[in-house]
Amino acid sequence: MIPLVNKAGRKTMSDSSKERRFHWIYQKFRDPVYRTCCFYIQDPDLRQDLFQDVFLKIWRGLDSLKNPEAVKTWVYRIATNTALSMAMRSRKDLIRIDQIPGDIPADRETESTSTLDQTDEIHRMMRCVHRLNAQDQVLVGLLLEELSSKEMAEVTGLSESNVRVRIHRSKKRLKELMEEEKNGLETDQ
Amino acid sequence: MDWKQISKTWKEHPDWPATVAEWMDQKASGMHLLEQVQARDRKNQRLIRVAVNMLSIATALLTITVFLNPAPDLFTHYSTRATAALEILAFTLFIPYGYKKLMEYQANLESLSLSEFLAYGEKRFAFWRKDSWILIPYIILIGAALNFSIMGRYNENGFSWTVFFWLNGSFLLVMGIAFLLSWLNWRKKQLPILQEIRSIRTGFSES
Repeated sequence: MIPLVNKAGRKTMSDSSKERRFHWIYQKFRDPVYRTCCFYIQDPDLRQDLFQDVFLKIWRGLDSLKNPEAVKTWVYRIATNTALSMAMRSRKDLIRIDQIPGDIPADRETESTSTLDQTDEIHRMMRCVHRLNAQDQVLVGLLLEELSSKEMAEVTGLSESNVRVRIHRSKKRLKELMEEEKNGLETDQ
Repeated sequence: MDWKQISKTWKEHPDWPATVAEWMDQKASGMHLLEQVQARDRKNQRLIRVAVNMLSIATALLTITVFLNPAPDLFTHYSTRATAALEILAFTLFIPYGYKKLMEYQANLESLSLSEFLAYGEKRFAFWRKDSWILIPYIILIGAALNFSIMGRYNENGFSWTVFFWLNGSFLLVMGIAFLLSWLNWRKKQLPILQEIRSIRTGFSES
């Protein structure tokens, strides 16, 4: 929840200026927002534009944020809508299966094996995620951020039970795709 | 599949914590970002406001000029007056449209839920939208103003049907070409987005 208490501990609305609230949101949500940008956009420059766009919309919408307790879902709503919007406009920049590097770049050979395994695992998963349909991709993106069904329902506008059913299907489909990919790799080897 | 582990791996992906830390701390600290965001917000709002204000001022000046009629030789002919009146009406039509755009910008539609945002997107990316109807009276008014302006000069020697047909034929042809070009442009750039929006909405509405 956005703090409405000043340093002296006095509850005051005047101290919770727009800039202070913006900073609080920035400190708390910059990493999740950046990850959301990474989920939808591959191009690093576009990603930075998107990151700034999301915070521009957060800044503009701060006055209309009625319920400060719902700030988390409010930020995810803005991040998801803005990212999806940009991804649809710049289709060429959406992460496509053929654009995700399968091999480890030479300059990263010095990194530890576990780090490289993690990177490889994420790349493999992202290849499969982007084979899902768009609505499942949105839900998986929120699932990766560990949002609860209730929070996902608030972000997407779907009912909580509907979200649960869809999540179940998306997970199942993603598992199938990842197994297909694993089997494919084993066959190639 | 252990989703807790996958999510942990995703959040701790070695690629972006480093990028986030480096990029945000050096180039986009909270204060720096806030300054950029505020500057962009001011610029965006100023652009729409300036456009709307200039249109309002131009319309007001034209109206004052027509009513006060400071140069009688400029407005002695009925056709010049009619042309000016129709142009004032056409400009006036666009002022509330401009304010609507400003309101839309300030409404911050991205804070809606995804379903509502997509529903809005479907309306916005359609070729013929609700606010496109404003074009009909606008084209009629501009066409009528053009007729009064051009025909006024030729009517001094009697009404010429040839000029009338050529003028309106050319006007309709230009409008037709503009309509066709904007449709082709929409088909190329906006239709794919609209189809994607529809497909997501359909996917969400299926139980």
